[in-house]
Amino acid sequence: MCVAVSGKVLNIENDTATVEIMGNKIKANIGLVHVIVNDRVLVHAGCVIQVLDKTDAEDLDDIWNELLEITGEN
Amino acid sequence: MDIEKIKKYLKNYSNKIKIMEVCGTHTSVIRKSGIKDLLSDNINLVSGPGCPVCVTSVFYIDKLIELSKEYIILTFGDMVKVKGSKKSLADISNKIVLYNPMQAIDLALQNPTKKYCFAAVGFETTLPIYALMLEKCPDNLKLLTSLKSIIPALEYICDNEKTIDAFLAPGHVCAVIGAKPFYSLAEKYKKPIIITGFSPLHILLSIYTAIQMFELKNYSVKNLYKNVVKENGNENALALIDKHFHIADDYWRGIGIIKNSAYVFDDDFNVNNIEDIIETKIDGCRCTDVILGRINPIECPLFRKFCTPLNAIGPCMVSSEGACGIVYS
Repeated sequence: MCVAVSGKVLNIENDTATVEIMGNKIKANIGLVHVIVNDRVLVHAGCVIQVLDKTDAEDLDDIWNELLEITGEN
Repeated sequence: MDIEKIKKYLKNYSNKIKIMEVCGTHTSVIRKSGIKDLLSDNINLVSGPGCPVCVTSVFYIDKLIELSKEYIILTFGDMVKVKGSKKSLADISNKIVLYNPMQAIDLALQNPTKKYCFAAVGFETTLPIYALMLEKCPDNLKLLTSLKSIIPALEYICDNEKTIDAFLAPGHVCAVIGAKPFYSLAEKYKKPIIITGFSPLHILLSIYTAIQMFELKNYSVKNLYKNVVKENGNENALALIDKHFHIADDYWRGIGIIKNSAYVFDDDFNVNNIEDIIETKIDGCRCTDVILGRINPIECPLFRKFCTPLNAIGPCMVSSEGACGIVYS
């Protein structure tokens, strides 16, 4: 039930954004976040619940850095 | 360090460790991606109580069915097959399945002479959406809630199940509540808690991290999903939750009452006095042991023989995110 997917905001009208998710365009409520066009966002049950501030590649870099910190290889 | 080194480490790990993935979506990715094949037999991954459908009480379903005589029931699809004491929502026609709770508002506004009741089930991931609904809810739309908080459930598990060594925290619950609420839990119970995303790589790396922290006796929270999970979560969402809901005790199917584990609001339909709830135990069903991480689904005597998705006996088989349903499929 907690499934959420990420996508990119294409446009915004009132409290609704059009979000492109893997080639599909869906409408999502933006009442829980502040978003602007081109933001990458996380959508759950028709609502944007978080704005993503990094690309997938940057995100992965962060994870590796966290791992290195844990194992003391930094 | 590279991924091959990590895979080799995980395949050859020789100490015993039991890691609970709390979220049903994590369980699903672990099964479907084949991650278990990459792990040593000494790494035991068990599912937790992170499927809200599975822990929703029989009495909640009964109440929905009773309300369907007066209200059109609006529900997520996951809830339809879950059995109450006699019937499920599949047995009633006065219902509409929705994907987005906000659609309920439009429906109620477009049909002011009809009365609707939304089956508001979920954890903190979905909770702010219900809070958003309450901001705009017309008089002909009511909510019957079964909204649960994950932190008290993890405390319950730590108090009662001493064999869990580490947790993979539910990433999308954390997107809303943030990383901070897990700090005191990790410290109090001396468990590494890894906040992780949902790709197979995310999960594999989080398992490796959990083992490393366990070996190093590093009992803290490691956030490997920082792109989504901020320290303080979604503060707008949390403010809206605070505005509309307060905390109460709640009944978890298969577990019993967990203190301070429900979000309720003043105009909520009352399900029952939870103190009065006594669930009938189903002979042979070991969903309780599955939810608490004591066994894996295949160890239940009913699994696959009598309990299947088409004839689900226990709640863990009903939902596509229930541990038994995932393992079966």
